[in-house]
Amino acid sequence: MPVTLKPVETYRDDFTFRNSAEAIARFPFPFPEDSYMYSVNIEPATAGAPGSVFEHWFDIDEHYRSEMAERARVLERDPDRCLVMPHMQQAGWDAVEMLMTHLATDYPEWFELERDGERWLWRNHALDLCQRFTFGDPASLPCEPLEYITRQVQGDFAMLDQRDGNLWMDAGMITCPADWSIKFDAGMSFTQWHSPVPMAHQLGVFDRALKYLMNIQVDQPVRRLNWTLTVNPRLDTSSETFHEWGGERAQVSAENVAQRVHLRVELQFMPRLPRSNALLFGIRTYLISLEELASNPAWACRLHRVLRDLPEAIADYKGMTLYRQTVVDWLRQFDPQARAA
Amino acid sequence: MTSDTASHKHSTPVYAEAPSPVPCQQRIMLAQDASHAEVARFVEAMQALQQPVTLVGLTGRAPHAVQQEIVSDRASLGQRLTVLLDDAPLCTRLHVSGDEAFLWHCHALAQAAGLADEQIELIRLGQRRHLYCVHCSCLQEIAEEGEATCQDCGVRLLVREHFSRRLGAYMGVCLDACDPRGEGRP
Amino acid sequence: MTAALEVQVAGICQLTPVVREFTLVPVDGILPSFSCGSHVQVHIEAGGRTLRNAYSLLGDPADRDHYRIAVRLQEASRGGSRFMHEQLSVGDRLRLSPPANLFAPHSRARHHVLIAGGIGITPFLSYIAELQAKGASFELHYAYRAGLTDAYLASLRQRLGERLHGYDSLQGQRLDMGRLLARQKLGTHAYVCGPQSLLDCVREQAAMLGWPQSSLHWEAFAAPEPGAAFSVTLTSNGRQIDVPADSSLLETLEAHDVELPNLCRGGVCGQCATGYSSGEVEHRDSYLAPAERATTLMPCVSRGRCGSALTLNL
Repeated sequence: MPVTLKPVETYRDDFTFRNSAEAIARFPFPFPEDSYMYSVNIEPATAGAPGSVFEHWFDIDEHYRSEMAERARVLERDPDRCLVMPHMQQAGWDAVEMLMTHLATDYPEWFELERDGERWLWRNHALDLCQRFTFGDPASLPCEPLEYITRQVQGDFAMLDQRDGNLWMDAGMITCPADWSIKFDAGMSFTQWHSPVPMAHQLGVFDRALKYLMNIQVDQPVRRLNWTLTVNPRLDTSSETFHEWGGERAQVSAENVAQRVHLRVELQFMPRLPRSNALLFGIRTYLISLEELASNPAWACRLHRVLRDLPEAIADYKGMTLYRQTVVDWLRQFDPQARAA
Repeated sequence: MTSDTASHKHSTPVYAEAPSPVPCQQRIMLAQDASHAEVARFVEAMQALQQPVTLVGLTGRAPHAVQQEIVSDRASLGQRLTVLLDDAPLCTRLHVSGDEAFLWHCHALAQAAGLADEQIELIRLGQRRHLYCVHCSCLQEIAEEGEATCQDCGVRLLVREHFSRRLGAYMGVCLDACDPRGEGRP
Repeated sequence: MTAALEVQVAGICQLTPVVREFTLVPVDGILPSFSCGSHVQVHIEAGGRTLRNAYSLLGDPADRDHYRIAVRLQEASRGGSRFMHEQLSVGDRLRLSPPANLFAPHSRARHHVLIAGGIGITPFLSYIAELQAKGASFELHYAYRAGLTDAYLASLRQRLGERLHGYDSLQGQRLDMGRLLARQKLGTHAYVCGPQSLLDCVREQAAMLGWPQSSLHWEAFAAPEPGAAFSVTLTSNGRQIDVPADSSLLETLEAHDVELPNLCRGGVCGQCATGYSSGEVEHRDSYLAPAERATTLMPCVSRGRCGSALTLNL
């Protein structure tokens, strides 16, 4: 069934972003059990059920126009959120080909691609764009190839160069990160950019994950889910803008918690870029308010248990210490065991 | 050494305490202050390895019978290094001594000239280091303090133990998002 | 496990008395693109069992219609190369694993030195296509025996001119590895593919000169060598499996439906590393550190010592 796109809503200021009942039903709830600990929860990204967020490699949903408008706003103010080091040029074209090919195949009602050798014609009906260009010739596009295509695809994208036994974040379009900065982390190895994460190093999680990622084969992508909480449906929770949004964490109260606090889930999707041997690291973000989430009481019950029992160090790292108790107190009503106690 | 090792899980660098006694075709040492006692100690250790050594200093002179030259400022040091590395044999080792900001400035020049990270040994002297304000991208010099005020945008910053080799700087991020500039909470 | 690609043999070309080239086209759909230095595993049904041999893709990565591989007939073949040479015909179907790359050119290199011994030329054919397309600086050193292991020599000569340096062992021409490595400038990366003796020679000379380890890359052409029969026990269910003399432990496990992740099947990539708790192991890999070998082995190449019984943490 063709995906229906909503008119533009906002992820800042008046925060008009809302999920439809359909969007709530397909939300990727990330907890397979009642407690959470870091693990190498990477799995082969096999095609999921029709309509689910796992159906296609790159999920386009009702928020498409809103998210692309938000990306344009972030870039207008801070163009350096998109960065491509010179040795990542070929990887950029790999990404153009992968994204255009998959979107045109999976969402033919919105995207069309015609290829005649290196002469390509791209049509994006959702944003009303039409572009003729020569594949491999950067002068034939209005901007950097990675920027051109990722201005039209939901989610952040990093491109990792594989060399010296590690993965290096040498390119990316990062406008909706969960409290990190591409401008600071660019050029770092996988090991270096994960250094602020608590506990996981001791568990050996990153060593195993790195080994797994470096051996991803062409056409055999993998995925994992990650999560945090965000106050307000704000996509750009970057380190760059932390001084503007961090204070909202202190504004959570028993009265507004259900509307203001959102579960933020990242569907990370990692395919090998075939010609450059770089790894694409897609980070597709889904937001849902507690009120929307509680329309599924089983989710609310489980989230209650996860947040109540979350180790302090992880809660701190995820930035929820200030308002965790308020959230847990509100969610308790959905947990029959806790209510009975 | 500056490379990651299996036991080193952080972005913060570890610095050299003595020159690695590995084979090589030549060694080049860049010193922010060539008269520093640590520079003398390193040069002596290198001479004991019987490998050719060239010393380039920004200030001071080493009290050693080593081939040495003094350049006037950082820009000419960079130019001199580029000339020395142009056409240099692959098995060249570079040693850099100075404060952290100087070390990573030279590291970036050396990498651009084709040196691998494992060929560069950094010797940290003094406490000065660079802080990167993640909010406005301004770089400023600090010492060991854990907090600072961004001299450009005025946001009070927490100095995080998260280091970028590319920028040669620690990450500074807003200390109190409810009161970014310390003007009193609204 | 990963899905296999179905291909059909579209052409066979005898390049030398011991080297055959196969052109493979998809049975349906299109083949995945690949990066230079990639290999595929060819699933070979020979003698009632499945071997999976790794072969470099030697076509131009820009060419998406077909894959090409070249196979040298191995004297001590366990049946894989012999099957490819003596039984595989045009029109036959094969299954391949998708391309994987354990031997990619370094993105920061300013100059590439390619060093090939015999059939080790194959990964460099895709390198050369890519490096020439990018206008990158490179040179090729090719050691061979004229008329036997000199596949592609004539076309390389034509294509590369002075960038090709050939060494014919029949004429006593020798590659002076020490001199070659010593004259390289900063920013050079060297890539070696060929027999173990060539790899050892390069590594030894590089270590003597003080070459940075990150500037030296190699791909072993290591097919598992046969050994003596032994047996293993799986900790999880107590199952006992006998490993015949001419099968690797990995192949035997796969034949018993125990699938392990793997890419190179030559003791290099580390994917199939498996823990063991008892038994005497003959380690043949070039991946594990000596300390790790007390508790871990690489089933793609390593075996239990003759008659030994291993207990695997599987």
